[in-house]
Amino acid sequence: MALLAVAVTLTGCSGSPFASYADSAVLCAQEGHNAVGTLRVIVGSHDRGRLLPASTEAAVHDVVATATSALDQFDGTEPVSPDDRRLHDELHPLLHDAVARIAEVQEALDTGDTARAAVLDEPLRRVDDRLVAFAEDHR
Amino acid sequence: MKKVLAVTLGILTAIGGFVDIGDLVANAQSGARFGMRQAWVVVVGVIGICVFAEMAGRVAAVSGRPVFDLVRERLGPRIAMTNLVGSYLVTLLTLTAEIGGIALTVQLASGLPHVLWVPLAGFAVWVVLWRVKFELMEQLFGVLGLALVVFVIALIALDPPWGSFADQLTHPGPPSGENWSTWGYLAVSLFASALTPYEVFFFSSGGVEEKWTSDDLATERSNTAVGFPLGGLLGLAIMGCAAVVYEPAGIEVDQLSQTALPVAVSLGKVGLVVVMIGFFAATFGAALETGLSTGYSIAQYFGWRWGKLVRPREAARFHTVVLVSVLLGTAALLTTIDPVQITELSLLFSAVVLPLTYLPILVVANDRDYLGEHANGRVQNVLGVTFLILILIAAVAAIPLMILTGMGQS
Repeated sequence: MALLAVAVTLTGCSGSPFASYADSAVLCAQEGHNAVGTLRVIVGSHDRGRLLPASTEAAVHDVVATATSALDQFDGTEPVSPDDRRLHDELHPLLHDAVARIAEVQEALDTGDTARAAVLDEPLRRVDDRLVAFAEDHR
Repeated sequence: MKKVLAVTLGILTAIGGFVDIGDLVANAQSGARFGMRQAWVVVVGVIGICVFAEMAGRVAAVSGRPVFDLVRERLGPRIAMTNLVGSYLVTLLTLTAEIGGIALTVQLASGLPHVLWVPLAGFAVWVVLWRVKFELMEQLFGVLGLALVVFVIALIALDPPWGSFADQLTHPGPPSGENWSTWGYLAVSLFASALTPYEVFFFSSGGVEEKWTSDDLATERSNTAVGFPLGGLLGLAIMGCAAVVYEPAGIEVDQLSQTALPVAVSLGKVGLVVVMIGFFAATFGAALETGLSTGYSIAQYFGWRWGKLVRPREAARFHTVVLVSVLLGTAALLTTIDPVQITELSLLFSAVVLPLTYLPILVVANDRDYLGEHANGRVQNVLGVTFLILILIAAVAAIPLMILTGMGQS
């Protein structure tokens, strides 16, 4: 049971107990990228009529959960040094932006506005590129 | 015809056992992160499960008794109790993950949150375990589980970079930018997904339920030789699909819907429907196997009457264990814990307890008092000991790798 408890605490982007703030930030950026990147695949498939409406809804729900979890996990880790604070100030708006963009796409798909969802791919790509760049710069 | 039907036990174990929620998650995670670089782990795992399932099936066919029954008699109640506790807890965790997998699959089909489906999934598993005949159960989910062949078709339709795949197969270490710890963690998970303990409990107990004898050894061997490699092939196809769609973009997989998405990308709605049928059959079939395995392990240790073919009134304690296990799994999922996280944990703890399952099988399979001329030969022992060493390495490495990598995230 103790091992199970340890294992549960290791999930999310807090990472290993030996992880620094920068390590956790990179993991959260990666989680954000996983969510946004997957959503782009979903939108592309939806646009080409390859997904069922219910499956789109379920897959987008998973994406929202991943992105929100990354933001919550990151917010739950307090920066202690000035370097940590700089990382926080760099990544927090990115994750926030990612969650907002994802919510917009979800709304467009929920209302059946496929054209708007396709248009929203460009802002998604931009935030995705910035998340990837953050992870690569600080890995 | 009877022989063909007998092979379905192997097919069911392969699809519902080899390809279960653990494989759907672990193969997709590995493919997304490392391409086909860990395909060899699946191959090694398939050979390992073939070796030990053949031993367990042979023990059941020749002695007419399942492995757990003989472990207690041969190794004594204390060692068998250690084996029982470890194996039961891991099987219960796996059962929980499978019920979660059913709920996630229905979520994918309905769009409604999986938590809503958890009680229904748990109830459906229990009803099938209670009411449906063993033979019908295995044939139904064996055939439906074959829907996962859609991953092979999807992989071909995705037109993967075969040259790059071949290059990755010959360079099995982590790619640049990835570390050996994470690579090792996912390799241990993949290995454990192939050798999950319940597979041998179900296989040997199923053999006893079907009243195998020495005359059925050829059938038993064909079950392992056909069923498990088929499961392994499907696992590799899942890995390949994730490698094509996610690896180039650096996207990691942590949701079951992500495992299905590459099929939709390549085959569209029809492919998606087929993959959902396959997911349902694999997770539901594995939930039945793990549910039964919880009852098998405890009933066989304590010498109670057990079995799907025995009327519930005559095997009340066996059926009570099964029911309580299904209830515990369902209750755990209702806390809203993520089924994919449960799956990852079940694979990790499976790795830890693997030696508790496989060492006793090797010992019993060597006992000429039980098996006579059918006891292990030299080749079977060399293979058994080799895999036991691999199993020990995986068991020792599992927890340190989990802590070091934060469950494979770093």
